Amino acid sequence: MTKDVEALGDTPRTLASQLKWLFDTVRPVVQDDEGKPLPYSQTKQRHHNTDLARHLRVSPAYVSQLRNGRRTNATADVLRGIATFFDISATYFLSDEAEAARVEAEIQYGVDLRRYEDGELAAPPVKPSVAGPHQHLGGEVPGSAAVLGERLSWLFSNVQSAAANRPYTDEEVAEAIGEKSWVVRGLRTGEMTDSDVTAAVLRKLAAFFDRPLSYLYGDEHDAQSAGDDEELLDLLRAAKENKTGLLGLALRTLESGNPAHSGVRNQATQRVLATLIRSHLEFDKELSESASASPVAPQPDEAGR
Amino acid sequence: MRRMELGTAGHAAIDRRTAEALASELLADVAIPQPWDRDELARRLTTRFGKPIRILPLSEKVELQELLVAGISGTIIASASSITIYFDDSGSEIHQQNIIFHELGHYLLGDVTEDQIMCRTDFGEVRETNAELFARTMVLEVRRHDTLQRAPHTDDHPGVQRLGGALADAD
Repeated sequence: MTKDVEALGDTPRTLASQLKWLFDTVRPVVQDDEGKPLPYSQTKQRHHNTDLARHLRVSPAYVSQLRNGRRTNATADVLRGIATFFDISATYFLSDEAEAARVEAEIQYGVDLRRYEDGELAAPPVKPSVAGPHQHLGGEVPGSAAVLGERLSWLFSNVQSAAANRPYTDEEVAEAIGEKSWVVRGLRTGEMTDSDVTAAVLRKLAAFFDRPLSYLYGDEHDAQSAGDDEELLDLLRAAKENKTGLLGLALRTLESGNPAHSGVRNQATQRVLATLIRSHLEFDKELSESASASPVAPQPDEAGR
Repeated sequence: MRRMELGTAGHAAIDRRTAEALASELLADVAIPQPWDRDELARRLTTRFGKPIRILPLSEKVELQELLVAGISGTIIASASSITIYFDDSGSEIHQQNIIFHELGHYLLGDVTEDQIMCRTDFGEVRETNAELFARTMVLEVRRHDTLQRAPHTDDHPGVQRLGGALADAD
């Protein structure tokens, strides 16, 4: 959990301020005249309203209104669309301070990783912890494929009223969050989906059960981001610290290659190479262990006569 | 066996003759197992180079899907005490031989020495072209010496199999 991200300062979070932050932070990959991607900080260009509008299938005017704060009550569909556009977790828009800061830290991490690969940062960024601010109380939590209704049902049956020692009723929950009880029932039974209500309702529902909104709104993005980059990052760190020549060279070999191979492909390549190098080094270790047990013949011919 | 000395610039392009010379030099020392047996080849190369060489299929370590995304068909990793060649084993045998000899070519051409790694992601480079030239020569040599392999391979297209069969009979 990274607490030191203060991207929005002391002003209260609004959809408009978050959108501003996103447009400033998440920049498109622009290529220079020779087709090389520009380093992050030299990318003056930002994503355009029209691109986002096309992605959302709304008018550019509507996007503009969201950005300047004249419209605030976007539906879950629109927010999810914005999230996929910027390739972030949709929970960003729907969360409390701590959760939003966590998402921001993740986005910033991605940006810093890009800047590190561009050579703009000397040290690789530290991956923020993916743990949310709330504790899960036990029981098997529905996976990311589960729909809203299933997740909500799980909460109803697993988070119970301590005072009454029984599950909450739809009415109790509805009253607590200031909504109609049929809305709560509809969401719980799956007759209504998250597109039928505003984000505020979902946020209040999640908060009632002491959950981050990511629980109700959990998407693939959240589910998979966890340990995925760890191996790659280990490789990058080790190479930067130059602990072993092998890792450093693997990285340099790749970086000297075709710029079209950088980016995702490069990362996948590095991940595969990290696996292979690791297995080679393991075998090397076995060799040296068995060699120290029995003396081995000297190595001929290494200098390339 | 010498390793090519190509000066400090290191990456001058070689021509077909040089590749052939390099290949026959290796073949004089190391007989390619007939029929093809990569473990046996690894053993013979180990004897030749004086340090353990392993030739391992990539499918043992990496999912095919990941391999496709990564765009790697072969890798050679050389450290002080051993050499590992990984090859993409999803293709036909001749393709696998080509990859193995390509990576071996990197070693013989001095592209990798100690604590280095090469992988094939880009064919545009001189080192890659050289290694490929060597690999092609080697595959041709191997097939020339192996009448069995001039017979059609089960991976081959049916038409090629018929054609190959006709040529094999002509021997």
